Amino acid sequence: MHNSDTMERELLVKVEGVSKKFAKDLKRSLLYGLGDVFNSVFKTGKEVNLRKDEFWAVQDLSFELRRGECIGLIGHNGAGKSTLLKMLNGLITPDKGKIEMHGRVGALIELGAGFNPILTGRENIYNNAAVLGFSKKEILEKFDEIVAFAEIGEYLDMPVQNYSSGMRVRLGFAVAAQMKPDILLVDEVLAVGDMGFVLKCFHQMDKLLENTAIILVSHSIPQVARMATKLLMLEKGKVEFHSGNVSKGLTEYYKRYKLEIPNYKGSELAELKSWKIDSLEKSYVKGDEIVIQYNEDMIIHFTIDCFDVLLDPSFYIAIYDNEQRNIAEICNFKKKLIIDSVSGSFVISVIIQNLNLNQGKYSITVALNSVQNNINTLIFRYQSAIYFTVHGDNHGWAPFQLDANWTLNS
Amino acid sequence: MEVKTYTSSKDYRLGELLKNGLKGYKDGLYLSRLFVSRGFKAKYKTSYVGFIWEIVPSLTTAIVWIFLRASGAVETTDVNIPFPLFVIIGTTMWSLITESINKPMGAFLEYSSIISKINIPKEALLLIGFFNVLINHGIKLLLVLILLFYYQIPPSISLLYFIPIVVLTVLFFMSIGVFLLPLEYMLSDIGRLKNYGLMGLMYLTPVVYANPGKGFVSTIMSLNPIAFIIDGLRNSLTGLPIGSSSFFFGMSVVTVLLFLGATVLYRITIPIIIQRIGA
Repeated sequence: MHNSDTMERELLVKVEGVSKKFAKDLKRSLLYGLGDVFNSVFKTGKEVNLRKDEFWAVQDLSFELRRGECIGLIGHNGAGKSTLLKMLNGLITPDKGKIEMHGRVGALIELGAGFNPILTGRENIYNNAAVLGFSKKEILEKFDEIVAFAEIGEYLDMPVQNYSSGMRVRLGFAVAAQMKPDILLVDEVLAVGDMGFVLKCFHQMDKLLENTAIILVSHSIPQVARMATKLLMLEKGKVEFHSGNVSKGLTEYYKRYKLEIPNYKGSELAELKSWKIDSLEKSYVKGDEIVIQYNEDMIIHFTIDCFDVLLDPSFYIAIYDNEQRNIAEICNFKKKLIIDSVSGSFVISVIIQNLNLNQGKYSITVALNSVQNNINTLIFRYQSAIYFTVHGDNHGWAPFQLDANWTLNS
Repeated sequence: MEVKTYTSSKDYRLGELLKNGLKGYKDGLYLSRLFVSRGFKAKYKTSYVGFIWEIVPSLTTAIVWIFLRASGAVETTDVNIPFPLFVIIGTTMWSLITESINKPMGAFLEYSSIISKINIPKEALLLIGFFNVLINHGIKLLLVLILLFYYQIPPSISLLYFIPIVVLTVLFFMSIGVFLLPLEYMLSDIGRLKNYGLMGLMYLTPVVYANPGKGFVSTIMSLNPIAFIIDGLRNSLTGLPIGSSSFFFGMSVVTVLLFLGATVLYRITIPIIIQRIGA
């Protein structure tokens, strides 16, 4: 999107063949630590292979980052993202390989570290800014800006321990946002804070990106998709995907994202026995990895077992995205199909034409209603009954990617 | 533009490490001053008598010994200054030594949540410790000064040696504390042994009584280098000769070497320890 003109800009981060190992056992880890101190001080040249109970938290990782680029680090918990950030930040040293960081490094990692709870917000601004590497002069210059950005106004002279967690994050981000770093490390900090403030933070990061190399760790894929110009996917410390093709990388990530928790529970009256999905490419049943191409038709056949007669039945379908947002519904059953009653086993099919969802992972919730004693009653509801992935060429931010036509009239 | 290179902790060049360490003291100065002043502010925000509490520990030890001697339960060698003054200076100076040894570990633990997440000049923690030791003992010295005035001991030329010996002592023992830091962090046994060792060592040093002049304890006391330091500090306050100048010259040389060694070791050990603190 915005990386075509940055190819020539200066290289700020260079990571070459970096590995880091950790020990699983605490006592052993501490003893190894003593050994490491000894080996380092006396340069015994002991090799760096794994000792007992050790594993590679990060293994043979390389990448480069230029000014104006943002690399998104994604991967499951424990993939090595935070370990990598700590190495980039110089907190821990790699066991193998080399990291070069050019220029001032800023980190939005632990907002408000260095806050002393019983001191006031005002006093803590000085503390926090000094921790982040501001000089006294810089702090004095930027104090008003920090206070304005944080929007904590009247609470500035209240002890920080009485702040809400959101206010603390505001204050922490406000201080950090005043840095003019060459390299910025961001780790999941924008998860807290209210909507307005998160947007403000994004705006601030957008501004920074023009002149900064950003390394962004997040589990929120829309956030990554929004910011990243490059993607690095880690799994168990190893690089699984590394490319400027963010859209392809995200598809890869969704494929691996196996967390599927269907909620299957019928009632005494009826249950969903099985389902089948037809798309242009192939048919899928339960247990398959379902991949639908963008803008294709999707046909779902539900096989239902009724244990009693159901009067005036109607189906409802909801589509949820990866973050459990309800993004689409199908509630036009009764307008299309009138059934007086059903009983026994039957199949109901629904055709969704031109499925123009953004690429990503989605789930389908299906519910059946019927009139019981003159009242429209819920018979069953299967939450996240079916998971499917939409593949597409382009990755947008919005859940719907409309397939519109354009014309030029002159 | 500044370039930082991170490689395995084994791939360092001694000169570079030392240079970075010394630069760390300079870069961390503002941060440490701020933290020391905020720390005191925070500490006394919840207290009415504030710094009085600093005096209490060495005062109680002193009172116990004054009482023991006055009651005749314990006989100690006569000293050439009033005994209460002898004991209070002794316990104050002893706490200067123990606090200096404990400070590198203490400051590290106190700020571990920051240092494991944010890349601050690590030496700032040592500076915070250094300033804290000096300020705490500045407060304790108030009591000593009151007693000096009470016993009408006039200030003399030896007082000039007091500050340099204090700084030398703090540097010497903090450097030792830095050497103990990795051992103490990785093996808590070491920390406990250290505390008991220091308690025992106090009785082999003229802190609460002077060199008895004969016997086993006397032999050790006359060889114990810390005895020279305590005597030197006490004598410089009370206007007596500070003792062997060659001892203090030798100690200065050793302290400089220890300090440089500690600076290098600190740079190597901190990342290794931080990786074991985790998130």
